[in-house]
Amino acid sequence: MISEKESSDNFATRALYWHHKFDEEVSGKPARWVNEDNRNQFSIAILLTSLLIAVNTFLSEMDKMYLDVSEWRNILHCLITASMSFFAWSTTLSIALKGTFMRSRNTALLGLIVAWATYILVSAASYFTIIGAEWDVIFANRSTLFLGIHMNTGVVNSEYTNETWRLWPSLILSVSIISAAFGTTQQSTRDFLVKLGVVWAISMFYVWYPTYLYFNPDNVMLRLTLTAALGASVFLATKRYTLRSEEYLVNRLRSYIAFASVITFFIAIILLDPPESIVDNGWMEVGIAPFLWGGFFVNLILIAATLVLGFGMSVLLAFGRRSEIPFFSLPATMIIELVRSGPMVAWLFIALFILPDVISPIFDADVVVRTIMAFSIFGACYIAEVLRGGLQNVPRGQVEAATALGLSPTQIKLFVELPSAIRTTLPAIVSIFIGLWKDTTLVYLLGVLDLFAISKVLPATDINFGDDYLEPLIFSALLFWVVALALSRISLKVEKSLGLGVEGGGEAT
Amino acid sequence: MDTQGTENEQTQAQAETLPEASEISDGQIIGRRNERDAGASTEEEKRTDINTINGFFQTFFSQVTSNPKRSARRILIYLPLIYVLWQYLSFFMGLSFDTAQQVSLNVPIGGRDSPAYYPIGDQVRIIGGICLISFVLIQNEISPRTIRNARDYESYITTIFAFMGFLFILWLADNVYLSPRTQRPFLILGGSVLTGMLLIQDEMKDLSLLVLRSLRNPKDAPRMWGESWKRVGTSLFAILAFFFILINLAMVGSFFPIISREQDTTFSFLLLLLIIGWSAQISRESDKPSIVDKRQSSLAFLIALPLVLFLTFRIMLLLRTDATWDITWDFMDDIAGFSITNWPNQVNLTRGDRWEFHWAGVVNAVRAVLISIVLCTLIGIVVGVMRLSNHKLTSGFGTIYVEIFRNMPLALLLFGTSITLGNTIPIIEKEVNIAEAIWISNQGIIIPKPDPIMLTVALSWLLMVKAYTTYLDREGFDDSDRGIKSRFRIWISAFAIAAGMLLYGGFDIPTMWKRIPDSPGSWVMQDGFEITLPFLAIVAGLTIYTSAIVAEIVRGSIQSLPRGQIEAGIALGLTPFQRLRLVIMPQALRSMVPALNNQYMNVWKNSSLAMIVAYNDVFYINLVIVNKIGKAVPTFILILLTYQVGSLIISALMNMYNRRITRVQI
Repeated sequence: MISEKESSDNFATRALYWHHKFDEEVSGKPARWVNEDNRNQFSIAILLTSLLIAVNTFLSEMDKMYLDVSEWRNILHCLITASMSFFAWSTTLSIALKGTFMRSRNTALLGLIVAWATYILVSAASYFTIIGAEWDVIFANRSTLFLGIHMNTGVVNSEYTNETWRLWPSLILSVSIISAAFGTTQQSTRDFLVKLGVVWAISMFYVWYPTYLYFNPDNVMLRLTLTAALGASVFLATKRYTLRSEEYLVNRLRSYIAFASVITFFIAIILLDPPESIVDNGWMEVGIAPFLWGGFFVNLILIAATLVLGFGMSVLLAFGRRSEIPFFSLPATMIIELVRSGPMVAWLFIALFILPDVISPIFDADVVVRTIMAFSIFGACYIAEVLRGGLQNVPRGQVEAATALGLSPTQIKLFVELPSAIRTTLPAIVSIFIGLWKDTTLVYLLGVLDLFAISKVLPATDINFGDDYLEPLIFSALLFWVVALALSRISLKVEKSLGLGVEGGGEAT
Repeated sequence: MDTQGTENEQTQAQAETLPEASEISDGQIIGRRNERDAGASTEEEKRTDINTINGFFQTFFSQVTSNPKRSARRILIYLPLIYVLWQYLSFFMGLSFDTAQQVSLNVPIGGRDSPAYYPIGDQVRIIGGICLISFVLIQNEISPRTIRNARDYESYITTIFAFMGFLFILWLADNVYLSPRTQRPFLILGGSVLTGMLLIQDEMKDLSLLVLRSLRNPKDAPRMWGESWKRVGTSLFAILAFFFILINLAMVGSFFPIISREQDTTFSFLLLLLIIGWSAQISRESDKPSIVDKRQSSLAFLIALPLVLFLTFRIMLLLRTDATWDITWDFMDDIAGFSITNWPNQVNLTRGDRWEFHWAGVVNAVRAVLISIVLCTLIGIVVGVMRLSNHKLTSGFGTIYVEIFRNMPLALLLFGTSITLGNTIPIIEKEVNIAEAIWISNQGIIIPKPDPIMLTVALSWLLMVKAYTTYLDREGFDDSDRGIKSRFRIWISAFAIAAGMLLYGGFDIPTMWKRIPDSPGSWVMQDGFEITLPFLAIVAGLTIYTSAIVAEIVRGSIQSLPRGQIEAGIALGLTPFQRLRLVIMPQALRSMVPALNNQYMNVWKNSSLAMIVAYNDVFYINLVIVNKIGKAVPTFILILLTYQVGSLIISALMNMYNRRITRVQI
């Protein structure tokens, strides 16, 4: 039906050709009365009619809303709605006029439903994001959302000390480590720089946006720019090193990076709240008590702690459960099954109510510290189960070969079985971490003011934003979503690079 | 210098491992060893020395004297580690010692014991029991094989001796007066350290066999003891010294106050020596694997001992002194006295006891979870199939749905759902009513309620039809198009008849009654069945969240099918729907069901977040009880039990289903 010759003609023919092809995918194959000669007339008729309807939609939308035409956001919304109605009507008309329902009934039906669903959903979403929502509530509280209420006081009020310096080193270190980690992979330079640039630009806009700006953004913007530049240079350096070095050197670099990330976690904690021994010696001032931490960085610290502590514990538990000695396997099994039997919230409340009774003679654990403990143990038990599955699938020959090479049982466990188990179970482990990352929102039930808790109470804090209950929620959902999506993408990439992708595949319809 | 040292070590290690090859099974150590001892070479003597802790210290000192620089560097590397270990040991031992004194001391006031008092016999039963269990587990002598060959008592002689030792100490504790400040803590702390030491020395087998054999033929006893006292000397000395010091603690304490007054320091030092010496010994790897396993677990026992002692003592203390830790469920019989929404077993809010409230919460949770499970499966399958569609827009829609809701925190989703529902549903003054029968307002959705008798009749009619179709399927399900159509017809008519029955019975149609017609706020809703907004919110939240995950499971299972299956379906001329129903789904279900089982359990556990939307599920109700009377420990035990039982039931049902669908092998 469609010959390649037509596609190389002038613009109008080409556009019609593309419309036809698109139409065939969305609304199905046309009936018999459409042939190559009258095909273009049909297309033109459909497109023009839809355009007329779209213009009508645009005007009626403007009219219906009593909107100010000079306002750019109103015009944008109406344009989006009109284009969506154009799409929906053109699909409907081509189904009706070309009679696609006669030859491919299912496709036509799906196309009809999907086109109208798109029209309704997109126009509603565009109305909400462009006109209905007042995003000022987020810009007014932009520092609170990330730093928490206590630290924010120092940022927006010059009478208090600004304590954000406690977070900058951790941010800089994290960015460098992430860039270095990307540098050791096959990531192309352009891809990474584009991603870094997008993140940098969005954060710059977030800091710079002048409405409801309560602090001086210059310093922050300068530091962010320098951090991004540092990240880019670290990436380029590691990339260069990776390309020019032997494989074993690169692997060594990777293990250094992993070690550095663990160190960074402890540095971040010590900078935020130095232990008493450091304060007593006069090396640092008294820090911020954990229960005063808040905002997005609490969520990040919680998941980082789970990563560092929970993963270590999970390795112990997994090997313990697999051990042939009942002294290790029995307690490990008991702990894993006990913890997995209850929901996360139950363990959080146990950490809130019962744990302090037990550990009060050891140290007076803060609510955040207790939450970290609960999270680590909970995560560790779930990861241990996954790791155990991976360990069971390590070929027996590998262990035997390692034994023949003269490695000790501990060496076999750490250098042969564990890497091989992690390799096969990495996707499952990452999905558990994504689950834990989402569960960090639950700490609000214990009174920790994390990102979700703050975004929940924001409308109540200011008379101007009393109605804007959904915007902060959407903002925090977006942040959680971005991190979770990034994690799952990375895991997918690693999965592919390890050659673990599933074979086969099929279409249901 | 360095190379010399390593060479020395290597030759030593070779000398050690050579006779290792002729090592024999544990059962007959003594007899064979006797033979070997007759012609013992110097190398073997050296080896036996090295394999004990005194041997370690001997080699250590000889190394220090021969190569001081290297040794100094080694020690410097390990010094911080040893310091941390010492801090840990002495800290927890100190706490345990204090608590041990606290629970041992009894000052009866008015004929009543001190609240924290545990008689020493009970202490031995608890902590000695833990030590005994650890001992038996580490010795690892009891196995199915042992039980079958019960007459071969030499293979589990150590366990028997451990039990006898435990009973002896129990007898001692119950019948001999021990002073509460020194002797009782010494018995407990020292006894557990002794257990660890005996374990890691690994001489108990030899010792108990020796004792047994000398009892059997006392004539040979002096010879046997003379030959093998070196192997069992340390353990025997430790046991004897322990009991000697325990009985004469006052006397010993007057000479060495550190043993009686500062037992924690003594025992921490002992533990430190044992741990350092034996970890160095284990890291030399000169033992055979079975002994290494035993020694490693013993080392773990020694390291964990102070912490375990502390935790046990702490919990013992809390059980007696803290009202939160009072593990009895009597308080559940009292009147709860708070308000919940519950259906269908209407709890008396003013008089109902806490058990009734608990069960109302369970019913509430199960109600929401069951509906969510059904809905999330349906939506999940639809979305999962959508994602695999050839129609680009449809698969795009599926992808967007999955990606949005899979990566969103459930708490946020629930809160957003609840707040959006609350804000979009009209307030009661402007309620929406559909045909004067369904009333939608922010007070809830009120729908007509069918006559309960006719509802029962209709449900039993449907069950009868189900039984009839099962009977029709007794020789397999007819899944040709005609069979499906006839089955479809049967069910349509069955439902129509059921609907007719319901209509005949009549509905309880809700009405709004205003006491004063023109005044706002004086309305009362009468009759009808109310669907509360929290219920809607929790069901919607759980459904949306889980359906995205179920969609991924469905997609994964379908994609993992071999492509040939689908192509064969196409070649046979099956329509897409037939392909899905006859070829794809039956096979995909095999890999889907275990994953779905997991997700259903997650829905059940996630329902504990219902308090975010103010739905009164079992977790919320128990939390209110904790807040009201503070019995946290028993209540949380109850919560964990409830969730565990629910998970087990779901798991059992799904496993039954799984067995059914995997009955046919492919």
